[in-house]
Amino acid sequence: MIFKNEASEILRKDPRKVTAGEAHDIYKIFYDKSRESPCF
Amino acid sequence: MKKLNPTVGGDKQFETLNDAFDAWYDAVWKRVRQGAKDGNFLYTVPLSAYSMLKAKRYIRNVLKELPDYKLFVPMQEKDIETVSFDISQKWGNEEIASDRYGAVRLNINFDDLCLFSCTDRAGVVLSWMRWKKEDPYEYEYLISYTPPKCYGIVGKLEYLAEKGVLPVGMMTDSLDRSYIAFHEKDRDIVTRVMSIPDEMIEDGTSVIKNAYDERALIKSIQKSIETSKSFVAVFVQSVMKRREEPDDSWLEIER
Repeated sequence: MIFKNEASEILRKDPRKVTAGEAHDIYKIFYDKSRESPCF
Repeated sequence: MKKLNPTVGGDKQFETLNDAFDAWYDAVWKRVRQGAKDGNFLYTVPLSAYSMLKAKRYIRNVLKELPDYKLFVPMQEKDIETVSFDISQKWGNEEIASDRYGAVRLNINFDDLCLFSCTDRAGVVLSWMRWKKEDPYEYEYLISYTPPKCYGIVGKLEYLAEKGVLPVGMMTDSLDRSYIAFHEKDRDIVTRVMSIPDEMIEDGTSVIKNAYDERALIKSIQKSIETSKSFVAVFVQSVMKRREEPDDSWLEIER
């Protein structure tokens, strides 16, 4: 699965080492998830 | 680089993702708490709609420490000519909004601006700006309906506009605080006007009559705005006069 293989890998990185592209991806996934999850 | 796509799975996968984000934003908050003020990691911070996920407590802390602007409405389009942004929207090429930290940047040096809080009347300020930019339908938002008269802030902005002092724009930050921005060179006159309590202006403003048609209603609203502006002028003049009259009480003590 994409999340397990890649997203979780990036999310475990040291924040100082995240690239602009990875930052964009993290934000985008979070943004989409927060909109499809009214239960939290 | 590889493109990531959000996965939509069952509750367990969602929980796992939720936990991963919780850990990520915890790490981001720790960096900010240690004094970091820039870095790519900050661009992962959402400015709104983050309350649905576990990480909200860390995100809220980051935004309290490093608030950012999520909306900027310039009075003149030229002020946003070189704005760079990615995930943001434009309405009529005049208003810019963003949900992502660091996405909106202005071509205006913040040192050249003075900001005045307008959180309570942000919608009225926005409508006034649109109205000044010749959107006649915005007039109804300049009016309080209990009692029916124009808001005090409208009289203040009209008075300043008559003096040639227009705001640079209005902005709202990630903590939902709104500000109206003026050029630093106008600070004195704007401070003088903005320090007048809105209630004092509204008390002296004429009530809008129930008009039988739209034209009559607009005329009545214009009259209310005019009286509001006049009241601001009277107040400002009285303050100026008081400043000009020397207080000679100390001279009597000397004698």
